[in-house]
Amino acid sequence: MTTATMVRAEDVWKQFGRHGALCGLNLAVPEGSAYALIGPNGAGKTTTIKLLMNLLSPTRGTATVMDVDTRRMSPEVLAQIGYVSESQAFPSRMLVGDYLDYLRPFYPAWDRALESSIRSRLQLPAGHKIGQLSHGMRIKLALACALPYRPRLLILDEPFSGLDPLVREEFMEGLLLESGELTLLIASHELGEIEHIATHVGFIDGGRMLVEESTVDLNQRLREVRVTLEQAAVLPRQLPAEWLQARAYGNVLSFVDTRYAEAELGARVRALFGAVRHIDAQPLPLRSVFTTLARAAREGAIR
Amino acid sequence: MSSMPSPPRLMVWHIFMKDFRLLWPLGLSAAVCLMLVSIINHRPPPYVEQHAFMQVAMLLTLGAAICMSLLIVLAVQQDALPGANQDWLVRPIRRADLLLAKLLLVVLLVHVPDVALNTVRGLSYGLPMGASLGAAQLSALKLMLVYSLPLMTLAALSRGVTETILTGLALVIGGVFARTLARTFLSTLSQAAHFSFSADETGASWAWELFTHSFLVLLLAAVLLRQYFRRDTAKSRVLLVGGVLLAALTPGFSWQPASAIQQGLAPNPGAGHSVEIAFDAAPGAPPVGADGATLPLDPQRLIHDAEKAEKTAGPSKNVAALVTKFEKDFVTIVLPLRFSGLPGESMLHADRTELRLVGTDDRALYRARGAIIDVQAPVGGGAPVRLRQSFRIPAKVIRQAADQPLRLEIDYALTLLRSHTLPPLAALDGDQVLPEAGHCATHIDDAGNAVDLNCIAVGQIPPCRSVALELSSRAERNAEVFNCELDYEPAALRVSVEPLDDFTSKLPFHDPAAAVSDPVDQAHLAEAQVVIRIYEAQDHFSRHLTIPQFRLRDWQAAAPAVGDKPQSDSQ
Repeated sequence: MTTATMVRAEDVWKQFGRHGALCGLNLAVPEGSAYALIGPNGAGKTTTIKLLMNLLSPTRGTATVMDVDTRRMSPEVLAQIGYVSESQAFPSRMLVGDYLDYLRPFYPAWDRALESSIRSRLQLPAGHKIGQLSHGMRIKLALACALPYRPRLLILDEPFSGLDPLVREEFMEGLLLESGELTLLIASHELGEIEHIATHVGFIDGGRMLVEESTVDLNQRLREVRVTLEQAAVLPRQLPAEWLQARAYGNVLSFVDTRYAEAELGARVRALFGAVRHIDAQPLPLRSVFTTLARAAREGAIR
Repeated sequence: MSSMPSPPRLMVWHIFMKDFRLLWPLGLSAAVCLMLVSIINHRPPPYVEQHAFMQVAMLLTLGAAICMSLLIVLAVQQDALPGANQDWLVRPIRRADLLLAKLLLVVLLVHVPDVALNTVRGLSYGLPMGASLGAAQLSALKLMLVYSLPLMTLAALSRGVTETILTGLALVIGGVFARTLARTFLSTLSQAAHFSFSADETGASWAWELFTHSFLVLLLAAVLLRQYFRRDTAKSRVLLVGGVLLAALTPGFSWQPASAIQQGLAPNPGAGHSVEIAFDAAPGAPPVGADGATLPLDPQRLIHDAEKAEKTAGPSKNVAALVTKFEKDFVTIVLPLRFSGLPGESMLHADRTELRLVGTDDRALYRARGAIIDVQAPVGGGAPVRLRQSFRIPAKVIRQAADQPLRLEIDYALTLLRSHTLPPLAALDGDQVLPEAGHCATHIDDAGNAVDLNCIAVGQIPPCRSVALELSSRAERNAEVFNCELDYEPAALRVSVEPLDDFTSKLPFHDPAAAVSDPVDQAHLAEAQVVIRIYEAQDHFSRHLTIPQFRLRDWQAAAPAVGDKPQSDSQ
């Protein structure tokens, strides 16, 4: 059974003058997934998201959202997308309540009860001028403006910056659940917050997608391996390419296996290091996946 | 994928109300400022211009302009177009709705109060409601095209008020600089060739102005639409700057297309078919009329650009030095001419006179522009008018060919203007609404030597008119006072951002220094009337004059005698 793709980018390039922000990016977000777009600073995450929201136009290539070219997204499509970004600019002279009143008629599916619930949870002051809100409160406003119409696609670009831990937790566990069936695309450095919900991970660096996989597959094949040898471990000059961050401490060898296969690992270790006392292979937390891939990318181990 | 209900189709009013709630104080401030200016500038009969509180009125006008400009710029920038962070960009807001909402706001907060105020101004002068409202609407439309549209476009290309102001200033300064550069270049070329190909400073110059203004309005509208529907700020900016520079650097129509447009738009083609021009003397014959008096030279222009005449009044030292140099380098030749076939109540204006001196080998020796002349038909028409027209020939051409037999060819581009008389107005304390001239009033001036006529009208008063004091009982009148500007623009296109137009004329009836008094003097004022005549261009046509045997030396001017009146054979 094939899953429909909610968001797709094919060979997308974006130049800012002579600087290439995206260099042939490919991306596919399956419908109903929670896709974590991760990568180091300047990797192209925000540019990708702005292209998907038609805030920027690609220099080359195409991106589609709900099978519609992002450059031709109609109000009908936009009415099904929620977008939250730390850099979102709201009309500063308007009051919070007035702005929500203004947005409401644009969304046929706007749920006033859900809006009230979100506003009270986020403790958004309706009578405050938007221009006088703190950064965190502006993020809360962005959330309050993006969720009440139960979007089919929710795109979040660094949504947690400035939010206190309680709101983060409530948002991830409560608000998203209330928002109904949705596809989530989230770019964030707060990997701990999104780890529990991410079903797919895309690792982007230098404007290119280096790894794109479901978290199930990623957990299957990406393992932090810890081997206790019978004798002291000496790292050979040539290790398998899929073993990253290999280290040896006494008789303990550790590495990240990017092609983990339980049945083969023991034999491969024994072939290189001799007798093995114990092998422990644990799935990597998202934070470790990120640091491993970032280091590997920096060292040219993945392209 | 499941389908979702569509967002509501028309959100123009909803978006408008959002902006209105934020910006109405600016609209109100502008309206109050304009209302106070109208009160200060109001002229009670006899409609003399008010000078009290003038500075306050100027400050209030400036205040109104600032408020209106801010309102227009902020209205657009509430939902700014450049950039990639604005929240509205990710909302299901139709660009067409957004643009229409902004236009609606500008119309309702800037132009509707303006129309209302100007209509009331017209009514306060006793002018009809329909005419007042119509003129106010037309002036508001023009204001929208020349003021609001540029501001909206600039605001759509910039991120804030400061950026809008700086961009606007840069465009205006750049445009003026480019225009000056182009004109200086063309003027230098014309001076080097002793010839001008431009239609500038003729009545046909409006065609180029209209063309340029239409081009700029279309350009601004295209950039605004492009920015709203394509949101490509960099390319839109390039398009705007390129268009403005193109308009500024293009110097204007040359005479031929301007003249062709003018002839095509003539309100009464063929009206000037009977007009003929003839060389009026044999070589060596003295340039005198039937009464033995010297024929007048280049009769004083009746139609003129008043503004320009005012600027050049009073020769400075530099001008005097230039004149001396000019007189040294050039020699004036004077040709006696006879203009016949002028219909009664008409005036002939030579927009352009081009002279060619052709040698016996059919090679053009020199060509020059002649002085622009106005020939007024004698009362009743029919009789020919005789005058002398001057041409300036470089001294070196005279030295080369003074005694050579030459052929002289002159091409005239002419305009026939016919006048019609408005209903008369009492010379003493007259107060009457006249068609075309508006509400007019007369009174004796402070010195007691002249009748002052003041008229105020909605819409544009025709640009060429004469005024005279007349005694209808004796069929006599004083000399006509002309107040004419060169403008052949069709009346329907004459729209100004100021819906009220006015004119003032001083009609002397008593000159203590004059030996002979005017027919209408102080003693007859009670029965005298002020008669306004409107001159409108009827036909534009050309005439060609060839003098087969011509010797330059025979027609060199002895001394200029500018300012005489033309002489008709009937006089």
